[in-house]
Amino acid sequence: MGRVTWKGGTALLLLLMAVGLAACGAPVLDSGWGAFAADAPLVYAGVGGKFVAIKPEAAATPEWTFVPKDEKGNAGSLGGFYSMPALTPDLVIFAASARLGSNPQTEQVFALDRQTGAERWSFPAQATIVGEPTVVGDTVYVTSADRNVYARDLKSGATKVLFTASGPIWGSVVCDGDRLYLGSMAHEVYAIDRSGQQLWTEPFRTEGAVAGTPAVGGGRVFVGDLTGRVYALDAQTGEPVWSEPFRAQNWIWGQPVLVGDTLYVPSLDGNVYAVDAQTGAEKPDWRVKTGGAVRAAPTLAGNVLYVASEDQQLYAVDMQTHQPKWSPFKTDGALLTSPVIVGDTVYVTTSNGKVYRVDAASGNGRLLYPQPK
Amino acid sequence: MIGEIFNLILLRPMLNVLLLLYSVLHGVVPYGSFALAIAIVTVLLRLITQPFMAKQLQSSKKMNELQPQLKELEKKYGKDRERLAQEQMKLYKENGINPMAGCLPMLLQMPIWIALYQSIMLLLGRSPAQLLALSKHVYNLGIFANLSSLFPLASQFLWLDLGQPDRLFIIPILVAATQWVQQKMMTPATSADSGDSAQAQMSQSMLMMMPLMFGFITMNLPSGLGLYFVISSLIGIVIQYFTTGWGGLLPKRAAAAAASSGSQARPTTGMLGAAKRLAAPVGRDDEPKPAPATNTDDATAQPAAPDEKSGPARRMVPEVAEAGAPAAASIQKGAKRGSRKKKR
Repeated sequence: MGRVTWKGGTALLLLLMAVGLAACGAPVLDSGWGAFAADAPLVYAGVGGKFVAIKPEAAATPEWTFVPKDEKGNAGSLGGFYSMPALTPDLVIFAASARLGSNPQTEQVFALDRQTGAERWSFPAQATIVGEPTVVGDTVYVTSADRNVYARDLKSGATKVLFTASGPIWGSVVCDGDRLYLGSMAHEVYAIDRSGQQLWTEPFRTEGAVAGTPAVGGGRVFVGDLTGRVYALDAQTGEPVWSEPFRAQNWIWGQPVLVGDTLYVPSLDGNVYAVDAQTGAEKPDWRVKTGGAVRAAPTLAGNVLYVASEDQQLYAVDMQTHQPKWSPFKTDGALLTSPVIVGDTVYVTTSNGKVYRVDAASGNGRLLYPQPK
Repeated sequence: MIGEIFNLILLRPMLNVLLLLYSVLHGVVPYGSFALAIAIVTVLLRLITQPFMAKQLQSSKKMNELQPQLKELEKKYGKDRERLAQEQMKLYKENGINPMAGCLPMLLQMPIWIALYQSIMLLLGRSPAQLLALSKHVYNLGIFANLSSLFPLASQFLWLDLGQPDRLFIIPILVAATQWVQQKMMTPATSADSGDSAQAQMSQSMLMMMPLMFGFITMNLPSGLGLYFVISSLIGIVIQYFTTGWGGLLPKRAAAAAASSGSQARPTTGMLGAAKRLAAPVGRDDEPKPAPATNTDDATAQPAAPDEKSGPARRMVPEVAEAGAPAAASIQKGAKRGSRKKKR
């Protein structure tokens, strides 16, 4: 009896410790915080280990579902949906982590036929892809934490490394004419041409890492960093324009949105700030306050600014009256990606893999996908 | 709610102190400064928690000294559990012992180590979701105002990227090796040779299993955490050396050292000791017991008093033998006290 107790006690202890330690640090396939794009008639979403196309009026069954397959036809799974897909007239292009069987996880860019979901092409990166692919003319630009900007010619299918930064790139490139702007986690902002040549004498050094995408307008480049600073740079020279950067209370990750002379800056402190694009001063009496981090760029449609917050709510603010257009729409997951507007509908996705559609006029909404059984 | 309190009073201070230390060190030694910060914080925490450890040792020692009487009570009132509990509590009270006193220091320390573990995990996070989680914990005031500018941390150290598992498996091997040494040192010199009982065999297998399990788990963890395990074990080894000597690692040397110093009994401590105490069989009257001290080189180890009325004391010998060879003398005293009590 005693021996049984001793063995049982030891085994139980070892088991508990194994479970505890495994729970502390076992690697799992990171699901990301959801990726989706919408364009009539379909909504495309990377959720729940797969990529689906949904018709909003018949969302119970996806139009098509994509998962990567190995050479034997065995289905794998997808994860790491951090970036929004890009749409061309024929293709939906998205980045994800892919796992096939027991093979190591790979970071891939996929291009699927928008109508059928058939894979047209894909190419790998060497580290996570956080920024969304950017389509400019016949070229799609993809950034990666492997420090590279990849350029793929959509006609010829040729892929090349266009530029290598000194640190991981988590934001996207933003294009203005023939110039591309991007930031890196190595605290640098770059301007390059479409052949990958740097256009400024040297990269602009920021105080903190640049995890987001710059905004361009009026001959200036606006970029936020992880110290909460926002810089305005001369697009031609890379020299700072404001006497000192604007400073939020927490990190800035989402892309600022420039509307006229006002820069709308989302921050992880839960606010969206309105900043004078000329001076860098915050505009008084205008601030959208939410209950959680605002990680993604707000989306402007008409006179309304839509803000997705980690507090699981979608906010709509009338830009003229500075008043909420409707009461925040409540979802059941953190909103970490930008809202997408198609016609009079706002789409949002949650970090737990759900897509909601909200009526832009009334703020009434419902779960679109996955439909409860 | 509890999670938020934990974050507020332990995780955030720990994380920010680690970051502050990193920022100071980064200016002096840019290469490997995060590894150095982990080492310094681990050493400091070990020093801070040392009073708890000492308390734990003391309590464990007292409990071990009472084992003869406890066994005797077990034998006497084994069938009446309520009476047994009452008598045990009475015995504890008479000797000024709180039976939970040994666990309490361990429980008090645990949140501190969990906070350090989580801080390292958060700071070494590589995915966007991990970085987002980290943003909620970084201070932005006073001397901590510029900590956000440190991200991403420079995580290269020797051949390691501290945020990634060690692909050469050197760190997992070091984790397993240092933990084995520490556990072995915790095992008293006498029990190292008493490999004939089932309990001793289980003890031996656990001695192997634990470090192997940690080593295996470390293979998939960021190597910075593995480094923390190694540093923590190395400090544990040093502390253990000054507390119990070489113990079961070098039993002959430990016995000789104990003989020359005439030191007191040192109980089995740490996780293995706790596991043994938890899982220790009680009242195994049906099994033959090994001699309390079979190591002939052990000058201080003596068999329990061959008093015919001290049967219970002899039965508990395998367990108390694990408490270290030098414990034998005090155990004998305890056994005799128990016998005298019985006579009365």
